[in-house]
Amino acid sequence: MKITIENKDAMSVIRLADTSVILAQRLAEMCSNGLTLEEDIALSNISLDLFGRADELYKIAARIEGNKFTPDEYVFHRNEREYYNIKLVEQPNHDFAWVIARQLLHDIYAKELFTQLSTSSNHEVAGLSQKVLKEIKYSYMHSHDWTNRLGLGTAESNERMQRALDHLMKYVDELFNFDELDKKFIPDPEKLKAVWFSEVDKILGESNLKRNAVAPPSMRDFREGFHSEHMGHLLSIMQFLPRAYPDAKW
Amino acid sequence: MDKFEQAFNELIEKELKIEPRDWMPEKYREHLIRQVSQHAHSEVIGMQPEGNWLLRAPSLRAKQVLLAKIQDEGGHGLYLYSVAETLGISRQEMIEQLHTGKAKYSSIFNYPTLNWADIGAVGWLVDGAAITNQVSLQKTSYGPYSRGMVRICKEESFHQRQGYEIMMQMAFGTPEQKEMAQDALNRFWFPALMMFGPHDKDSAHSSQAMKWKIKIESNDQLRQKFIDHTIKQIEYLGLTCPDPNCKWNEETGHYDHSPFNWDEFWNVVNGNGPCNQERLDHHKKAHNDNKWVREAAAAYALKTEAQVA
Amino acid sequence: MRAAFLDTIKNGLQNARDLYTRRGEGRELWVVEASNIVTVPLDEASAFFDPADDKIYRHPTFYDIPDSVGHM
Repeated sequence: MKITIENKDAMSVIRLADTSVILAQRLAEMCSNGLTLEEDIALSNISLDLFGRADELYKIAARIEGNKFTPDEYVFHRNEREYYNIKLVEQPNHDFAWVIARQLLHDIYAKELFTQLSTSSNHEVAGLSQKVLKEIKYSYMHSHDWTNRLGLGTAESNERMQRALDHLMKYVDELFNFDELDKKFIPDPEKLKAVWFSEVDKILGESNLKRNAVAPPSMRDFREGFHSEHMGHLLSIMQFLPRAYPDAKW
Repeated sequence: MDKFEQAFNELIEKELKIEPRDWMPEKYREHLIRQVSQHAHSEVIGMQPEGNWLLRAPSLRAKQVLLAKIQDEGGHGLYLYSVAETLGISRQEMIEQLHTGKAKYSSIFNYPTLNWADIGAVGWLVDGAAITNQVSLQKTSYGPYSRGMVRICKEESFHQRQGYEIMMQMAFGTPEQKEMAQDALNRFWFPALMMFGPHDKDSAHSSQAMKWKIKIESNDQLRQKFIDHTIKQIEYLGLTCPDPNCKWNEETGHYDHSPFNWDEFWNVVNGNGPCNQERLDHHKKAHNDNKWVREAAAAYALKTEAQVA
Repeated sequence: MRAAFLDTIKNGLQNARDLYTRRGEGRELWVVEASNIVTVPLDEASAFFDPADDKIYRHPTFYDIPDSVGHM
């Protein structure tokens, strides 16, 4: 099965959907691995929000494309290079600091992005954004609080959080390399960038953490379907059943 | 018999609930701590066999359903730890007892999940058996446990249905899928029936627990109820019950079953099941690897509370 | 202050007893000062509770099971 995405707006929506589904899958990996049951349940909730969000976004993209493919076909039948999620969200759950740092950097990005998209000329995207913003508000509360706790908790937690941030910051640069599609789809890309940096700096500052200058890796952009090595492993697990049994219905 | 014991007995007699501050015989308290903590651990360890397929769930719908279900198990573990805490044991102590092997959990979770249909079989048979037991426990004599069971039963009402839905998909799917469904049923049928515990005549704890109305129906009664209910569900799927002696008995008005392999059951209880070591190691690893996070949270709470005061 | 506090609590317990246990429902009561109750801030209520609205798979009616296999 060769999945195609022809319409530019559909591609913009697919980027959001891919980012949601890959982050959801990463968070699902934390299920039964939480530091407490409470936290296990909290991360599952965030993951469920993201899977639901991805599903809705794929449906919107599919409608724009004339329903040639279903959400499941987009998820389970595209290869690595046909995925357009930001590299940030495919980074592994190295430890709890990575989970939180990745979530914080994502949530700040998603909050401003979906705030802007709630005035999108695409009514489906605008409508969904309103709902999504409530989820993000809660997730952001969670990642913000944990950033405070880890940054200000113990010397070890501060050090681990800083290490996670230093790694993940490498994948931030590409978020703001807006292309023509972004400029058409996102109402105010420059504001997205400005808000992101000012919020990140504020929260890291209050948490005794730093945004160190890190050189982005010389890798091509997620908009061209380029990913880190982690992505192939994630997909090989996620897509195993539909690929191994192509005739089966699930 | 002193007046406290008399009051306790009267409450039990009238089928009223025992509450945390009531006087209760030490043995009653001990029995409950053992049973409730084992129940809590079972919910939590039970997250693992299903978690084994979570990342491979084959559709967006299946992923969300399974994650929501496993999350429920964690929530139920949490309710049950809270119930046990009202009896005077901390969650930390219970987790230590789990890690040292002093506390047990349901042996069923020491079996592996080897194909996607196993996720169906776990929901249908394992949750089905657990629900049969838990519905009965809603009437248990200890108030917090009883109320916890009411909530848990309500939340679990979707668990068995989602399992059976997977079984239908698999049994009515491609020949390969149907084969997986039969394979899952073959492996889970007897272990699920043995979940109800030893036969009444061999059950050391059961009779006292029934006198105290902690347990309302016996192991064998509950097991028979489950078998009688489940056979037509196997038939609907077009699958074969792995027990050739599972036939309707006109005389008893129930389905018969072959003798169970209790040697295997005790062998698994005593640590030699296919996944005992893996399940415990997984739990210990998650707990120990995150010690630094819990310490950070505690340190942060101390600092911020000091600021407020 | 302490005495007044205690009296309020005592009064609260008695009021609760008179109102809530008239049909023999109660064997225990808890009374907490309203100022000690932590609640969700009003402007955050939708972030707390609305995301659960679309998780319809948590309800049994989401699953289509034939009647002929009995109650599940």
